[in-house]
Amino acid sequence: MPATNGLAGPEPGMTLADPESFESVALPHLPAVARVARALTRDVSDAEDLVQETFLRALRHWNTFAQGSDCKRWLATICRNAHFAQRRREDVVTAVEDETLEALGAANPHRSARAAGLNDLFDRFDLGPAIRREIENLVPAFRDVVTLYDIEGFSYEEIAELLTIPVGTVRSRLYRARRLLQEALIAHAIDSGYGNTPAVESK
Amino acid sequence: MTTELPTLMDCEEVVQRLWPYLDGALPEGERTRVLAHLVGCTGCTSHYDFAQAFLDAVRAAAPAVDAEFATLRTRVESSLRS
Repeated sequence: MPATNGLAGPEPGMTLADPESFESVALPHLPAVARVARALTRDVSDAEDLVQETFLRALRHWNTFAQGSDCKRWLATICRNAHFAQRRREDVVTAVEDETLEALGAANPHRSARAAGLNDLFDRFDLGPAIRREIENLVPAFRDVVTLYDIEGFSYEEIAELLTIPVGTVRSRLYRARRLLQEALIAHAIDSGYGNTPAVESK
Repeated sequence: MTTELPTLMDCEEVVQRLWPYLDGALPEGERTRVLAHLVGCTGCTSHYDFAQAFLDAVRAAAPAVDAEFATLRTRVESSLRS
């Protein structure tokens, strides 16, 4: 995983951003901001409004962005702050999510894949389109965490802060999302006729 | 002088730490113990290889996912100019 450095903004003494650089430095992070916004709002329309608000705020405060610092995380913080400024946070009752239980299941998809003769599933096939489809098919709580972590490179702690959920919940959802994705991709390969050998379970 | 050997982990303990190990999120002591187990256990190493290949595939699929935001980018650029 890429190293992350928290959600801090510009540090004293750093060179401030060139006003002309907003488009080339900030806008390329729009997909990451959109994923954060979607995770915060759970609504496509609200998420798009939040992305727009985030970039408007970012442009207004571009003169405070420290050149060379982490723009994606700077924007993610603005997005989060804009979201909570727009609406009071609703209390969400979250079912107990067991990080340890999820972690213990980490090898289950591999056992299934091996039994179906798909031990090298991810090395043998181009699963890009299937992966993209299955990520979108995940329940939002799982999809959000797996995209923010595995695609955008935010840390467990950063996601917990962005989504105001405990770090243990981030881990639990991430591990479960990965398991669900693997299971869906194995089923996809079997349905496509690639699982062939008889099931032989070893360890 | 003697060096205290780290306590060995069994397969279940290693599997339980597979994701945080791959994510680089384990404390140094645990990371070392997982690594020591993987060196000598082909079963757990194969779980590790499968999980790593999965993560590589997910990350490789990411750039195309970004295409879905092209329309939104146009909207944001338009609002920034107005």
